[in-house]
Amino acid sequence: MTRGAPAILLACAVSAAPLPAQVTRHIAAGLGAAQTRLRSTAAGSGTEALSGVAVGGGGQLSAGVVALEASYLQARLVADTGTAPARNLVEGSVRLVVRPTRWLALEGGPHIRAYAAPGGTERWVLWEARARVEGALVSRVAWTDLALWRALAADANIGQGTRTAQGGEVRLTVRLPQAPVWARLSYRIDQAKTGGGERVETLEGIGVSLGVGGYVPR
Amino acid sequence: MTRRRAAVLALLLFTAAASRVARAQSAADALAQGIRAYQNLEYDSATTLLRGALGRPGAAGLADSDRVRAFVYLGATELFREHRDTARAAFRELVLLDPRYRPSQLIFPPEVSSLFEEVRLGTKAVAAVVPAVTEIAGGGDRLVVRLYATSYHELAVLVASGSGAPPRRLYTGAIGDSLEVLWDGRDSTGLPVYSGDYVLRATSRGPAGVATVVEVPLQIRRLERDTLPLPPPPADSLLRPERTAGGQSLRSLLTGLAAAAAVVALPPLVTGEANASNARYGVAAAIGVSGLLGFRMQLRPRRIPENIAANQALRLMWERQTEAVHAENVARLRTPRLLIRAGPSRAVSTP
Repeated sequence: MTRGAPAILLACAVSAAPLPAQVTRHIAAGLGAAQTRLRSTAAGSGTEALSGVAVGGGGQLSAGVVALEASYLQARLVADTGTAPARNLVEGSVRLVVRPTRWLALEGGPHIRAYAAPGGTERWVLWEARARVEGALVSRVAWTDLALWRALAADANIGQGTRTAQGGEVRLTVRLPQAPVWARLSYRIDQAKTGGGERVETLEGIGVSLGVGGYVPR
Repeated sequence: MTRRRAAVLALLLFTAAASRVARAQSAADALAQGIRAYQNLEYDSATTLLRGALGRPGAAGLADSDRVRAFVYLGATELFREHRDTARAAFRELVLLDPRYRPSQLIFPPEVSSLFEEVRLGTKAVAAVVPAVTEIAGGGDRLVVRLYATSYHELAVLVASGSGAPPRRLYTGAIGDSLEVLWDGRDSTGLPVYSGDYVLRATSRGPAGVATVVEVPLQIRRLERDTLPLPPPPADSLLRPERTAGGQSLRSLLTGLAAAAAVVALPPLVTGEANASNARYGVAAAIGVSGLLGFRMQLRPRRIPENIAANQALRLMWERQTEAVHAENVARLRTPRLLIRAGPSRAVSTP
């Protein structure tokens, strides 16, 4: 499964690639902050709730219907209540994006996440497959998108058994008319589990970001 | 009966053909016999035979190359008969026929060459060589007229029409050995000539005035060139909508509401439990309000500046293409195709 996912995405990208004469290229970059909340449940030791402000950024290179996205985020999460030790959240992802239609994007790639705590660092490596649906609210000015993803393969240095992960994200993007600058409001939530639910990590974030360039849906 | 008629008809045809060949042969034979008589110093006989060969008109007569030979032998013969003026006349005919001809010094003695040169230098004439068919289709095409002079003299070349219109002067000046004159198919006003019969006239002038005039008939057909069709205006399928459609507003509203609902529904969908940040309702509200605003803004058709600019660029490109085709058509109508057929050149007056 781990080996098959990138191959399938690559095949999709190649088959959907347009002729060179039709290719339009875009570059986008953005920076943002997100109020992030982590709920970590371990069998036998209850639930820890931590939160903090994450900062990060991302960029996208697109050529025709194919794009490459990368993002990075880090945050210091401290316990909302109780004595749970603070954790440093660091995560990054790289995704290949294929846009077969104007309103649909299929994405996939590795997503790495680490929680650094005094007792050790918890690492997750997820191979995500993501579907994103876009819709314009005001033509070329405001649009929204909904993404749902699932890990085709997941690995973690904690717990036992099969690891699973899934998540979703909704974004509202507003672009200045006749200008390449945009602002984005987003809500995301995902959950990663180790075998049998002995460890469940739910990460939730509400973010605001500013960026420049990129694909503009009609 | 039928066979007999056919046989008689065949015999008549054969006789007519044989007679034509016999006449042609007899002109050539007369030339050959005249040359032999000259070589045998039988000048009286040679004169008779050569004049006989030259006197045959039309198809029964000699070809130009043989006429040249006949004239040079006739001139030499008359010279040796001490008919110097007659010899001059023969050489003059020869010079007019082929200004570039020079008697062979291996065949003819110096006194023949000397008299020939005297006549050549005293004769002011040109031979005009024009291609049988010339097509003038574009700005660079020309009718090429090559003129070969007997000797240095003043020359005027023009193209005249039978309608009495002012002639188009092509050249006025001196000619030494040869000259190439070009004609672009236009009349004296600079416009392409119309269909009709024209004449190319080369007038040679000596010290005493007009010496000879050589004319080449030109039959000109003016063929109007096809014009190009104008490009069709941009198809509707290529033009982008310049205003938003009314239906888009409802779609914006539904999209906003669906996305807002998705924000609310995501936690249970992903985690299976509703325990999530209440702040997400703010995001849902923002998206829902944006959808509502989109609905309001797009309720009335709205101009789409990008599409208007793209359509203007498309229309501008079409207008430019149309102007280019129009200019090409105007140029084509101004420069029709001319088909020029040239006849044989002839000397029309020799004083």
